[in-house]
Amino acid sequence: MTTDGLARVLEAVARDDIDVLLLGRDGNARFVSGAKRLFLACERAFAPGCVVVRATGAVHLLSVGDAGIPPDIPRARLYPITWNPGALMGVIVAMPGVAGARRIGVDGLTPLFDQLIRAFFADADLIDGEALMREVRRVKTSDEIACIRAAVAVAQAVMDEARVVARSGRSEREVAAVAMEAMARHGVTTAAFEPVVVRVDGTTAIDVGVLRDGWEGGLARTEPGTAAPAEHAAAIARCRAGTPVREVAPGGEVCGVGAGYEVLEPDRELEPGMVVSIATWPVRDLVLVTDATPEVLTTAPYVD
Amino acid sequence: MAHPRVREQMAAFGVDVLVLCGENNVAYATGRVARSQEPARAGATRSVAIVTRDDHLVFQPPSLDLDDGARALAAAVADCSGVVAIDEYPSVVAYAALRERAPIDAAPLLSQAKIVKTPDEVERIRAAQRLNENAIDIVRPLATPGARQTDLTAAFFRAIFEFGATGNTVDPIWNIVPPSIDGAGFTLTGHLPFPNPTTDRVLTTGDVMFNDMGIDLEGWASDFGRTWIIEREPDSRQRDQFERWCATCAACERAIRPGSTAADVARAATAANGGARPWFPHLYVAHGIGTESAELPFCGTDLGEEIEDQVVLAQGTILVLEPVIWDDGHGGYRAEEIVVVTADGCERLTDYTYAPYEMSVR
Repeated sequence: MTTDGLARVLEAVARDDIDVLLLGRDGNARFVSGAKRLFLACERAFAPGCVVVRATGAVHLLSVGDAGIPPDIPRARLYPITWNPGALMGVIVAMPGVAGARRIGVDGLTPLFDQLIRAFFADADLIDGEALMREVRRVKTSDEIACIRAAVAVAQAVMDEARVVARSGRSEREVAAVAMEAMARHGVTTAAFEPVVVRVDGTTAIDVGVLRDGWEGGLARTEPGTAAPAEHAAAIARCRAGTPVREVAPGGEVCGVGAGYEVLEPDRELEPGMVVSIATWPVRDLVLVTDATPEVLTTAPYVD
Repeated sequence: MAHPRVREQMAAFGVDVLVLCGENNVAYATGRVARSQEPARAGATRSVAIVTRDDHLVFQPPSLDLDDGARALAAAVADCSGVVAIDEYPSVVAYAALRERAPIDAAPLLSQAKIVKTPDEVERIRAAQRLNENAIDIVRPLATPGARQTDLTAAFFRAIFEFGATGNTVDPIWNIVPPSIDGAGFTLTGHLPFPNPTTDRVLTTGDVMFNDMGIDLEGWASDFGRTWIIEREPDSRQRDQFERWCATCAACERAIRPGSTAADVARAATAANGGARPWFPHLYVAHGIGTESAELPFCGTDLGEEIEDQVVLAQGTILVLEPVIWDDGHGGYRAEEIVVVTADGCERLTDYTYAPYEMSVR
């Protein structure tokens, strides 16, 4: 994963006059650093696992070793795991350019880190760092779109194998098992979510999502294939610059996709370079908003 | 009604309204189990629990990163009077929306509840562990020269879902360890890098592998760890490492009983290892397990003995013992053993072979 994520975050940090950004969410840390740390499923409570410092332009990462850490992050910018949150804050305050920060962006919080941040940074303001990250991540660069395309290719290969198993009449559980197996055989051991397989009246709906090198790809199809509902095609056609998110797919589900799931504000207008997931039961596609006609990244046919 | 131990601790801590935004806490307190998803998707689609002394509500608000979600959360809390405690703030907007209620930290209350598992919960963890072990039975014969780490992951995934796992919780670890720390890769601690991310690395004869995997079964975690040697019997030095690991584990087990402390477990491990701490310096020699694969109590962390001596084990506490024996230049042995504290000692929940090492100490 190589992007200019850090540069864009530093621009936003300067614009919003944020001195230090404390990031707990792994997707945000991946975005600014390109690091591949141990993947854990589930939401985790906030702890500052990645620090962006405006004064130095540096990103610091919580990591005991440098395996999976891009070479452009020097070892001096790794900091170790500690079970003592106060000690962790002490390490962060000692990073060059951090002491005396007045505006601190965070992408989550706990009661304990609320207290500690206030203790270590007297009178500092807490800023919504997730809003900043959401904005920076929303529009993808061509490199990022290439990463998403590569993830989509894996997801589509997984879908092909899952459909073969579904065709043979095996259970929903077995279809999910084969899909997960196929994902790993294609070299991806981290799922965006584990396959959702639902069989209704002989038709099996399958939704898969993978995180390949930290970038998400995914789609939903059926076995046997079924044409996408008319409202799905209409929703895709509305994925044009200027359409507010809430108007894209009134009967379906819309979210952003990039370094994992991205929350989209309902009033946000689509812009070229955004990648959105459009789900209209029983199908789902990833769509790239362009200057002209939207491009469906998930090219697998609905019906073969 | 929410978990009786949660309600008991709410009373003890003087908390009237417990707001739970962490999915493992929601699962523990209410039984509502989330799907296994990458963290951002899990966070955006999370259910929140609001627990009062005699009732609870679980609901899925709009994204808590946005004002609508934060308002929905605040409105639900506004319906309940009294002292509020919260486990985590999903976002700054959620924090701001709840600020006037001045929530206190729910972590002490939750860890006090979770430190004792009910007999039913012990059985759920045992069942999750058994499922994990049954999957490993299928993977173990595949760990041969020429196989890739990702092939083992593929077989593991297939098996756990066929066996009915609710989810996979950690990218499975098949960490090949070199004989020496020197050349193993940089670490801040100077010890071995562990765990390293799984890649498509190909296994070769004689590779020593520390493995570690966690699955979820209906909200309850498992934690499997063994050392394998690829297509080779352990030599006498490796057998000796294994025996020292067994002796360390046995010493921990002798120290574990109601009333002993987390620090007692770490001290027993260190004493059995001739005074050197037999675990990775960035981790611990033992950790708790429940709706999370690693939760309090921790034994042997950098919090130090004084703090860990305040953590008292009780009947029903579950610990995962994970000592590491390391002879630099000659590799080492690591495995994990889940034990539950009984009325006068502890009992193992893990039930798995140490092949290809011998079973010599129990």
